[in-house]
Amino acid sequence: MRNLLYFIFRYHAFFLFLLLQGLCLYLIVKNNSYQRAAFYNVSDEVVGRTMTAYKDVTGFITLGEQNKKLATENARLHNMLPSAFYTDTSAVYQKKDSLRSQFYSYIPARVVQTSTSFANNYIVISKGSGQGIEPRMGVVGPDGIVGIVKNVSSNFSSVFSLLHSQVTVSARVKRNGSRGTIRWDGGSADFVNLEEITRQEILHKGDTIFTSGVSRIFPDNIMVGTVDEFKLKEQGNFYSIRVRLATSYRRIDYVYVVNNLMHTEMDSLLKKTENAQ
Amino acid sequence: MLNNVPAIIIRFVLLTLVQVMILNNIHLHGLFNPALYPLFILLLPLETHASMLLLLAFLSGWVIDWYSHTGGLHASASLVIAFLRPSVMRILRPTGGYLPEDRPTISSMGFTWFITYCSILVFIHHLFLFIIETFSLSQFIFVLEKIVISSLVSIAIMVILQYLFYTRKVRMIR
Repeated sequence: MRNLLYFIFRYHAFFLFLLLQGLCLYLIVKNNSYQRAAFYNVSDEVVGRTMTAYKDVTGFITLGEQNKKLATENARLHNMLPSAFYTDTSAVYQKKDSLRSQFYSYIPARVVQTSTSFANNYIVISKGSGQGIEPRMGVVGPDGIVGIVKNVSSNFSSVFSLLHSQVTVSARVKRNGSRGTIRWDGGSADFVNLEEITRQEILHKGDTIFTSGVSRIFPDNIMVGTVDEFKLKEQGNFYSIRVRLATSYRRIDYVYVVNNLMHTEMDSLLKKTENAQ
Repeated sequence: MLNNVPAIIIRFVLLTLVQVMILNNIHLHGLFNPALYPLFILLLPLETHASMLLLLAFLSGWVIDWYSHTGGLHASASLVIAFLRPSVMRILRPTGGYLPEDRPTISSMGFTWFITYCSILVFIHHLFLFIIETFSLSQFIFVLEKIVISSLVSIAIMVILQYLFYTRKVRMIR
């Protein structure tokens, strides 16, 4: 005991240093929400990187088998693509399948009017309520996502494009699956912003952005665009990401209106959940 | 040391004010953010006791933290250099050791001694400060740039201040 006390006294400056340093660390973590978030995320990042490296190795071993699987799947999907059946009638592509019920059906339509230069841009398409189109359906093109149906007349519909201040779409980065929100802030018609991606995610220029499938409007895996530029916002934990749109609204011609066949079911479920709370 | 106390307090207040009012508002592309307040720790008399050094460093850093809402970030970095100061002094000891009237300034110890002493401690301070501030290695190159540039600017300011304020006064005392 005497030796211990002597030891502490001999190196008292060092112990005082450790004590005050501990106090500092406590103050930093307590007062600073960023450090707090980072503090608990460091371990996650290490674990995540290790697992990615592990997956890279094991994935390489099974590469041949994976390739065969993917080729088969590709062939199957190509046969199911609406473009494989395309005729310019108002036919709705539906598939009879006793095992799976269809989730989305696609109604082809043609763009008759489009704008890109206003703060709120919309498109008019050549199908309306007579062909089964309803407000709040999604619209996709051959290159990717286009917009959301706003109003319908009997033969035409107006569609808010992504270049509209009221349109937000949930999207995810393909590389890591992190989910954010697509929003347009005015400016160039070639770019939109992806928001709410946290700074822990690793991004690269050219990363592809897909729809996330959490909205009831768009199916999963519809192309939105590619990352053109990204930087961390000055305050806070989020990136500000500029996304180059896959769809060019100046050249857009044929589109498909997406009809979520389970919309009413999902709606009533959500209402039930909300009422229960 | 006792007859130096008023001078030390005035230096503490002035350096803190300059740091908080002027330097904390300089952010060029987020690239440099010079720190002047470590000069307070650097200029404390040679014979200052190690514990006293630590407590004063903690205090000076903590005051900066109040103003910049950083918890204990600056206090932590200050503590590191206060802890290392005696060792650095020992390494830089001139032949024959320090004299009782020596002060850790350019006028007393010479330019080479001061710039070495100042550079080592300021660089360690900035290294610690910015690494704790970002708290990850993901932007390592940018942080490194920030550390080097900020250190160079801080050291330059400290040396210029020495020539502006201390030279004449110390000569008069001698």
